[in-house]
Amino acid sequence: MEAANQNSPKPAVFLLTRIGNDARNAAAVLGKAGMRAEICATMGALCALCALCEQAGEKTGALVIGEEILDQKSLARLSDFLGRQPPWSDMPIILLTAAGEIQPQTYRVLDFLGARANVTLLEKPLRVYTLISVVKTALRSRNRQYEVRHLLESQETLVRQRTAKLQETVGELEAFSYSIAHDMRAPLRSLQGFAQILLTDHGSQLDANGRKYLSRIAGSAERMDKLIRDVLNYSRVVSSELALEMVDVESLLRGIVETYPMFAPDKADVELEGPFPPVLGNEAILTQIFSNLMGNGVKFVPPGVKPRLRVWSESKPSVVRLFVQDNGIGIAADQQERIFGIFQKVHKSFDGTGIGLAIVKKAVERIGGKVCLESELAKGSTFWIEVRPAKSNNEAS
Amino acid sequence: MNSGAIQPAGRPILYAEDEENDAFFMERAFNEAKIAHPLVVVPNGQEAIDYLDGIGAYADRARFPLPCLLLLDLNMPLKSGLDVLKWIRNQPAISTLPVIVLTSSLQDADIHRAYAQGANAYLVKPSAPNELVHMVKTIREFWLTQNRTPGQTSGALKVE
Repeated sequence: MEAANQNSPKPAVFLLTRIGNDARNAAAVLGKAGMRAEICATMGALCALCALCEQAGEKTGALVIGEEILDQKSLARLSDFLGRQPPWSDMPIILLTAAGEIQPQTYRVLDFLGARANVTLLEKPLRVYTLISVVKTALRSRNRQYEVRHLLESQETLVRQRTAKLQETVGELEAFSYSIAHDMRAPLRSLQGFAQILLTDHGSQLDANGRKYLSRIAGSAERMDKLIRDVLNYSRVVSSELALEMVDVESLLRGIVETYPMFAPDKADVELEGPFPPVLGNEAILTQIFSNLMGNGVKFVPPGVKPRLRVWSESKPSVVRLFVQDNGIGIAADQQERIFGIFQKVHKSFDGTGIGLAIVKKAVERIGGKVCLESELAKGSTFWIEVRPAKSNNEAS
Repeated sequence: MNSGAIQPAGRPILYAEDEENDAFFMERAFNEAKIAHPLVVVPNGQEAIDYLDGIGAYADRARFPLPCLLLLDLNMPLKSGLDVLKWIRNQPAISTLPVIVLTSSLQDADIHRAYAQGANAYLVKPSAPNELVHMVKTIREFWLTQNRTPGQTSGALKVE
């Protein structure tokens, strides 16, 4: 790229005037000053030549145009050409105007071109050093634009390369998770299976201690299995592609309550206090969020207490809050930040992997929301998530 | 116990599984659930194809009759479960054989691929032996008793 830049010809200055001598004189001056000047006969020729240069990878430097040439038609032509310039381009145009009072027509042309290019007005008769200095300034500014373009291009290449590398890494990680799921869970399943078969089929040959140790082996294997599944769930929530769509929270919540045995009326009192507005999210992600929050709510209760869950919503124009309140053991104030971290367990006496709330936090973030908590030890907890209302919700109101 | 079965008890259930312990658990669950159909285990996808094709060690159809149901693990050496599935669906003689994918993978991509290749069901291996017994009983109830496959109904009528 650098080598090509060095070998490519100097940026060209394109000259167009009605009086041929003006262009020839100016070209001679610029040529003497070491610049490359190209005289054009018509606006059409100028635009075509510029486009050809750019296509060939040569730099276009500046346009020097006599004001008298800019009738309606040639202005339209020039405007069309400028409109097709890339976003980084701000073409320098030096407009040569007649001496004396500036005419209203000149103002109009200045306004029109000024909105589309970097225009400098230069009065005739031209003085050699003024012309050289103005064109040099124009070329310098144009060169800066090419540098910006080069920078943009190299940044884009870098971003593309890094994205490709990241995608590769994500792919490898997914393959790794998969092999964890398959290869690590298989021996675990055997461990758990044989321990349980020993217990049920041969338990009578063991004393009470023997049976206790066996059930501990089975229990540990089961916990490990749950842990692996939770970690996989977590990585799926973090990395899966998801589309934001309108989600019917009401039927989603009802589905959760009906599906999981832990929310059955004999196990827990669950009150869904509708109505629940539709939100912008993802059904799988929201199911994960609520089954975790509500599952925690019925799980972390003092022994002998029947779990009680209240679920309700609060609607604002730009945010929907969905609350889950339980009558559980609560979370101390100094622990409330910690519990959303991965592998953080607050209650040692309860069985769990310490991933559930980390999944909730990541999941809510994936749909552009956040999760909050209000709790006091022994007084239950209220978790809520803040998500965006579905579009139809706004349109309806 | 199995008198109401649509599938004649003589036809085996083929189980393609490379994990020996999983094969053992399945045999035990078949015993516990008192399944009348013999369970035949093949240790990889290639042997599953050989068995179904009736070639090599499985050339004797009298000893190795065509199964009425295939339980298919996905990750296996030589030929994967998906390879086996693809092969079956392209064999006119056995293309309609009911195939239940039985795997430890919970990945949506695997579930998609399995159904896209023509799996009839996708089950995830339970980790507890008693859950496996329950699953096997459900398989008997649905796939061996309720479900009908081409050619089976007329065969059952003739028996009556």
